Amino acid sequence: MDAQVVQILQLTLNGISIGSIYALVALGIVLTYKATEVLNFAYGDILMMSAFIGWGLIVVAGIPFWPAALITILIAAMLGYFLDRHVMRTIVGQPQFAGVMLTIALAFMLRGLVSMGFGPTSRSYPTPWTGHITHIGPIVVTDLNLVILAAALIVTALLFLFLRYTQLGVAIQASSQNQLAAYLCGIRVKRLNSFVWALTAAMAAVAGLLLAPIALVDISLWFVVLKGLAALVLGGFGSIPGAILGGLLIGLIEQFAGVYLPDGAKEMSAQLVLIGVLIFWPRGLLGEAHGRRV
Amino acid sequence: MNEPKSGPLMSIRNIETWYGPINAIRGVSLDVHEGRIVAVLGANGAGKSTLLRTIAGVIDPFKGSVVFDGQVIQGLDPDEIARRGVVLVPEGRQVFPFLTVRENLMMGAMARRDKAGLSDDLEQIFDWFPRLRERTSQNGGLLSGGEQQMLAIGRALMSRPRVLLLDEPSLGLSPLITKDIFSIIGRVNAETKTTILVVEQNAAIALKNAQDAYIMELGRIVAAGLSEELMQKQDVKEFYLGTGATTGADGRMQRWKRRKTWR
Repeated sequence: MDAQVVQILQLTLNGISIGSIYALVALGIVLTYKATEVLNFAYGDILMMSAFIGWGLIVVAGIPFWPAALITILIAAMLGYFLDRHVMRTIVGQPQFAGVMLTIALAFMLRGLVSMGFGPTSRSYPTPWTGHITHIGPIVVTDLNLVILAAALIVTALLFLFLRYTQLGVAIQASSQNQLAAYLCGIRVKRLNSFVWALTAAMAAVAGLLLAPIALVDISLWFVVLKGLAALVLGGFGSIPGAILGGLLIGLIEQFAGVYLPDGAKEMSAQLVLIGVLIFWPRGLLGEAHGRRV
Repeated sequence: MNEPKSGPLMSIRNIETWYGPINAIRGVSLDVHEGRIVAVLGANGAGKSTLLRTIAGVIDPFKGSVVFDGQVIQGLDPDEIARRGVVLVPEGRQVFPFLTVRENLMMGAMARRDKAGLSDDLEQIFDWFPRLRERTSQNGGLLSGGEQQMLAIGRALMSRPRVLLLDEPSLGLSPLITKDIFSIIGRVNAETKTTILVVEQNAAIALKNAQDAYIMELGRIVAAGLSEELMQKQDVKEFYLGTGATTGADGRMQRWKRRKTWR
């Protein structure tokens, strides 16, 4: 096959793989936003912290990958629950910017805690797939990329089933559509919000554990929140399918920009897309036509 | 119609509620007796909705108490108050727009402690509101205004409330649908003995369907009594029902010459 075509296929696969991590991040942010009406800027830092916790468990404590991943996810969920229960809940009823400011403050605190606890050096941990590669026809992929794709698919599918078919999931939908009516139905909205924080923090941990082996366990992992936000804007803010689509597209755009555009374009591309979409197409790809009901 | 003998199921004492600098309720006391339909009437801005929102816990009162079934409930979270059986159907058809009619109704059952008989209750709701049965798998947001109001009421009834609080059920609905909704409210009350506290601007239809009534003006209760008695009062007729106005010597209405007895 033509080398050009192979390269395009290769980039597409890598792009989808990294994009599915962005999609997970975007999904976590949009879920928190829809359910609790708070835009969680600390999401990237929860993700980054999870990667460090995973590193600590695997490399320092010597726990095998799977149990370590499970413990990390649980710790992240507890952290998410704690942050909502004891921090975010104290400002319920205040304007939206208060929530934004508070999550930004939380983001910096988490970042500070990590750099106090682990120091500024970056590190890495082994996974069961590190170093393995698979040939799909002429394309070479690392197994890690395939695992990332599979994990993102599984998490998204589980999330969909949960929201669609369980009573708790439908209650989360209800509360995100009309919070007042949810309260009046006797739905414990505050507890539900803490649960959503726990759930999305667990998702952040999955994303962090997957991202760290292909990047590094490093403080700068939190930057991924910016990619997630770009994905949200591109997909249409507030739309769950849009978050997934936007994430994948941002991943692809980055990969292609890295090869076909001058140096530095890769780092800028997500934010360029964000700016472009906001100016020319503020609704995004799958944005909801109706306004928000409060 | 006799005066009830036992103490009230819910009693509200000297409630005072502020919206920021605005004193929306200025010391309201009223009693709701078990099994009755109680109407609160009044013009725009009289504080009727605020009263219901205060009872339901959406707003906390600045002063005063709400006692339901012997327990103080003011200051509790609205979900907790709903779980205790005081369920508000808020103004303006607050349905879950992207949930189906069935899912909307099932959300109403979240407040229930006993989940037995859920499907019977669902049947009962469809029996009261046959239009909802035809649309069980449609999204709540796609229903017409009247149907959304029915859905909101049906959802509240799914929780088997002990006191149902209805905020302006007629708002924005045609006279025909309004009549429909009030006749169903009457049926629900007659068949299940659910106590109902309804706030309305449409005094005629509310007085006709309620047993007890209160009239609110500018955050205060200015008249109270059995609705039949209130309906006969000259000033109620004139200011709220639009009938029985006095006429001057030339046969023209001279409302300004009459004063309300409660001022």
